[in-house]
Amino acid sequence: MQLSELDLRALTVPGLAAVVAAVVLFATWHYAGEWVRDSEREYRQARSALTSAARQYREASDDQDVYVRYASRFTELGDLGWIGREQRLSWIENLQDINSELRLPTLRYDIEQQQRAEIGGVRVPARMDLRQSPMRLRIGALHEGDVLALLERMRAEGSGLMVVSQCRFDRVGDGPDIRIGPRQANIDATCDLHWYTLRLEPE
Amino acid sequence: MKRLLFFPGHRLLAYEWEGRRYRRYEAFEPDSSGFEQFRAWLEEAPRLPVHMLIDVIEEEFHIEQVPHVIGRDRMDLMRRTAEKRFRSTPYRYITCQRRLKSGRRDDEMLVAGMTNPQLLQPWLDVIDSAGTPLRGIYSLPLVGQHLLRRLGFGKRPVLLVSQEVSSTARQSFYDNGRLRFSRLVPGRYEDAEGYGDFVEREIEQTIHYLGSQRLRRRQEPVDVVVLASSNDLDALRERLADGDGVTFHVFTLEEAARRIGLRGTLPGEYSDTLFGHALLNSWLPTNHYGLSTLRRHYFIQRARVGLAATAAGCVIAAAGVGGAAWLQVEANRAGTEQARDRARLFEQRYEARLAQLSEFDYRAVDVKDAVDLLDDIQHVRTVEPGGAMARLGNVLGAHPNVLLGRLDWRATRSDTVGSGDARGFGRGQPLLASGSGRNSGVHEHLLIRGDIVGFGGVYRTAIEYFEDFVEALRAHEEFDRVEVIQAPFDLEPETGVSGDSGLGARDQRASRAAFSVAVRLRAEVADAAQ
Repeated sequence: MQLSELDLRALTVPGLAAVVAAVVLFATWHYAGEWVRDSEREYRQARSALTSAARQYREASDDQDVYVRYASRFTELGDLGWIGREQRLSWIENLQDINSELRLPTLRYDIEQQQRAEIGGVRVPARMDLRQSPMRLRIGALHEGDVLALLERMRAEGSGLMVVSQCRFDRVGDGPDIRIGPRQANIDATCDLHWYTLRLEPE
Repeated sequence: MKRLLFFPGHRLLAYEWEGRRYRRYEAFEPDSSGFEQFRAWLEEAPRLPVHMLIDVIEEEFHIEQVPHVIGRDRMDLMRRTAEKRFRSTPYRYITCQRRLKSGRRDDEMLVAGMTNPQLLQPWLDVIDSAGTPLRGIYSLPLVGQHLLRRLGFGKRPVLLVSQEVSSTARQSFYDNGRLRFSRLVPGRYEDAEGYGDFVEREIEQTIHYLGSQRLRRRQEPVDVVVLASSNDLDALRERLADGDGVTFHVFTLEEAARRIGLRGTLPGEYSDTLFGHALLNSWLPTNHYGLSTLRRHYFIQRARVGLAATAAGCVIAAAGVGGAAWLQVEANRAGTEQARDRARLFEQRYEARLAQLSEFDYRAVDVKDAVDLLDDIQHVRTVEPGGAMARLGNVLGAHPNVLLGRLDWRATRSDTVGSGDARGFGRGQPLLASGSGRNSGVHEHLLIRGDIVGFGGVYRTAIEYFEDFVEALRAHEEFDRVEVIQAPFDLEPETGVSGDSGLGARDQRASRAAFSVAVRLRAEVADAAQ
């Protein structure tokens, strides 16, 4: 069947309409797809931001819980001088105060250079710097009880974390007799200690 | 609305059908005036397709048996069979009715044709010049298949008797719902009685003919359905009596119209409107004689409709896609806004919490680790000499002949008692134990050096004092290891011995006897002391 010019003319308008409509459909499909994809991308980003904000808040809450539990003790340790720089002057003054009461005939101290402490079996977090200063006390005392009292008061009142590693007690003189006098020592004691301090990197 | 043209061979009847009823009826004579009126009628709705139903005496039907082939061969065979039967007319139609069950199992074809093509031509010319789409040209006996099914005679052998114009009767025989034979019989009669006699006689002849042509098997029951005007009903019922396997069903046109669902008043006195209704009410009825050249306007119109429908479908689909996208975007936008609102809320809360935490310069985890570490060092891993010395003092108090000269105290991770002698003192080893738990692995060692005194120069007594002292240390439940480093007088054969037994030296030698003993405190005692 041959189509006449009249037939073709009759088909022109609906044919063009169909083509235009098909183009409109394709364009709508294409751009609507992009539109939807953009909105989905935006939605995913918002969800991701929400997740991140929620996690940040949760971590802050966890931090606050930790602070609530540990803050007072942390502050206390800081006040004791266990955290931060070694307060040698304060320690010396404190030692003098203690001895003003104990009145030990001899009380000498040697503090070596501070160094990094590496302790087997103790994990020191990477952001922390645990340091130690080896020190030796030479004490002349009326009796060994004064030495123990000194160590006890240093632990209780001293401005540092002291750990005693060894002590030697020598009787002065050959006999069992005790010499009585403010400058007379019956016991010469030598104690080795380690003075620990912890340094923290601020946030 | 649908338009139906009925051509019984002379004039043309035109109907408009809508909603299962005929709403208009026109008749056009085959003269110039009639053609013009017909053209005017067509031009009232130039794009509405027309269905042409024909019932002419020049139409013939034949049954042909052809070999069963398939595919293109089948189409060629059917075309050649139709051409062989109706060479002089393009208005021919062939359809396969069934496949025989015996012999070569040939296909049985119904071949129909209109032997005088000139009859229709003037009317078809008007339709073509008016540009009216011709849906198809349909044979009334073939459309009778649809009518019988609607009347409730679908499968049984049926002889359908109808009258479409005056002075004729159309008799069509159907078996299993398919047309097997049809003829249009002219008649001359004056009244209803004459029509009754005419119909009775023709039915009798046709039944006889069907038997002779083996179209009806012997004594096979046949339903004869007669469609008649109400005027002829009584006369027909008087004459048509059942018998010899023949059962008569006489319906008035109105009654038949009701049965097939045709509403309203019938526009004529004949049954062509019933066939027309069956045709128009069918879904995609098969075109019988409508040549493709005649149906050109119909195809163009269908193409226009198809293109317009495509365009409309595309527009609707675009609207649907756009609408669905809009809904999706709105949902995403709402979700995005909600997520952003919640994120802002969390950020505000976070800022508030941060403000509460601003007094600390350190991270929470560092604060916790620092406290844990320093507390661990202070409370768990340190020991001092007071505890061990107090326990030693208790033992010494019970042994006045033991004079303590030097005491070394050490806290080490070594469990060797003897290694804690004077040589190890002063090395400055840190006292932090490894392991877990309180002071795990830390041992307190005492190296006791002194003299046995007051034994009166009797060595045996000095040794007894010393052994008592060592025994007391070993018996002490809080010392778990005691090792004699140096006894007061080592008289074992493996060692050397020397002395001064002169009178002048006797008192001096007898006054002191040096010794050294290493002791280790039980670890759990050291723990409990903290």
